[in-house]
Amino acid sequence: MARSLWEGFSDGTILVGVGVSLRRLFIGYSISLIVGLPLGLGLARSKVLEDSLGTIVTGMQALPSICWLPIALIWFGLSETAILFVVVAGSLFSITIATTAGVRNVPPLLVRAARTMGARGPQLYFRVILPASLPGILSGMRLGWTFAWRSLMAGELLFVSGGLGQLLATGRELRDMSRVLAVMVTIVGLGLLTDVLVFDRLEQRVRERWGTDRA
Amino acid sequence: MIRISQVSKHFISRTGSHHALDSVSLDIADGQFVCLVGPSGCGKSTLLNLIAGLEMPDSGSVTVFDTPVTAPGPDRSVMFQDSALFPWLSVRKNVEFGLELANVPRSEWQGRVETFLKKVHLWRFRDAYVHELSGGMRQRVALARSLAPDPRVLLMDEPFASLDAQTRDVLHVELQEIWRATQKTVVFVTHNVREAVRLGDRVIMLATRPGRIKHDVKIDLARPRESEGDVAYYVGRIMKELKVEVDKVMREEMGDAWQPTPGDLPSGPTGGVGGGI
Ligand SMILES: Nc1ncnc2c1ncn2[C@@H]1O[C@H](COP(=O)(O)OP(=O)(O)OP(=O)(O)O)[C@@H](O)[C@H]1O
Ligand SMILES: [Mg+2]
Repeated sequence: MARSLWEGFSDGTILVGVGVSLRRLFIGYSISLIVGLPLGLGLARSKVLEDSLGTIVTGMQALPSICWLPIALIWFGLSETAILFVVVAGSLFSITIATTAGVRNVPPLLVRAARTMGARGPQLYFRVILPASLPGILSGMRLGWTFAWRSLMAGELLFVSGGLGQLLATGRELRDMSRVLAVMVTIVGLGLLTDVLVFDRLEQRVRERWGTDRA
Repeated sequence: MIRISQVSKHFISRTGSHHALDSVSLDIADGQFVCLVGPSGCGKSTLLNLIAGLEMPDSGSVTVFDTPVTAPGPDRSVMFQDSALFPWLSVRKNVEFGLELANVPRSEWQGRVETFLKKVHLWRFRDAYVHELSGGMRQRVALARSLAPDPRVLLMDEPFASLDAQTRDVLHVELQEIWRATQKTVVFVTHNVREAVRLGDRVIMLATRPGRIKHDVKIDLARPRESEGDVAYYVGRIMKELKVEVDKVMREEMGDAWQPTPGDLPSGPTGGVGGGI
């Protein structure tokens, strides 16, 4: 298996797969963040939004992301867009829900205190509520990243796409166990790497600041 | 002057309608230090929140310096039992936040932060984060944050209630010192009658269900108030009245299970007459 891993890297197939997959992941995840964070903030603060979209978002989150694939294929065909759609659908709602929860968990006393100092409207929102919900939002982003990653692999496995998922699929067709394992190790490695390098560090910094690491 | 006239306030909740305040009228002169005491649930916090503008009365009016209160504002600082400091900001930034909201020009921030953090003896901790401070230190930062924008009124809702007796003692001295120097109007809610007598020009006792003013005691003692004898005289007087009210509340809340102990003054773990209710 180590040899497969080595071969895969040296002949470039795994590296190319990694590149293709990561690119999709970044694009899909970014879209999820750009839509999910504001949506989550809106849901937490607006009764109208909550009443109209709240249940839908919760319901959608319960749907395994691969269930979006048929819709994606009907709408976009066997294309890059279809895969991105699956990635976004798979991560968007968990980001939204975690953000909403983060805002709802802000201690009301902090908001009261800020109001007594004269904070109102957007100032109250961006200077107090938003930073106060940062720990919740961060865990939502982390969850979203994991889900985006999983959705991507599921999507890539199912049709010819050029990413890591497809390498898994071809490995299976060739019944090449060590190759399959090599790709899986790569996937786990990438997941761990981003978790440790990005999210662990961010959360650690927030925990130090907040003092929650000493609980 | 703070003028509260004929103010009534109800709260509607799942358990029914609470008559929190019943046509309460109260005038507080500029520079006066007024303490509010009374049994739990009698509406002390509600009264304070009305002055702060966090709540609106059902009827009656609240005016501060001839302006009707319609919203919270930096001219009336509020301190709570919990420091309510922002954990993502350093001590210095917490104080600056209040200055920014009060539209104090940026050029003055540095000086004011230094002045007030030194007043509460925490200048050394200006770059610390909230979780690195003890409870007493947090309340002192909160005090500095309240004072720095130079509000005309300081509203304090049991600000020292969760501190140990020694720390509270130190803060009493600091607060009196600051009050003497700045001559702000202070409204101070407490459960601790000794604290009220020690700090206040006036101690106002509220009765419960519905909340209304039962006694308004002027404390005629020289400051600083160290003399145990004089303080004890007022404490005893107010405690006797308070006991009647507390018994009433307990009977209502606990029904037959409540056995009042005749003549026994309630005393808390901090010890002493009126240490806690
Ligand atoms: N937001 C609210 N919703 C419903 N009821 C409330 C609300 N705020 C206060 N009350 C009720 O109003 C009454 C007065 O409350 P308030 O908090 O002013 O009492 P308090 O004197 O400050 O009590 P404590 O000494 O325990 O702090 C209580 O019966 C309380 O249940
Ligand atoms: Mg209260």
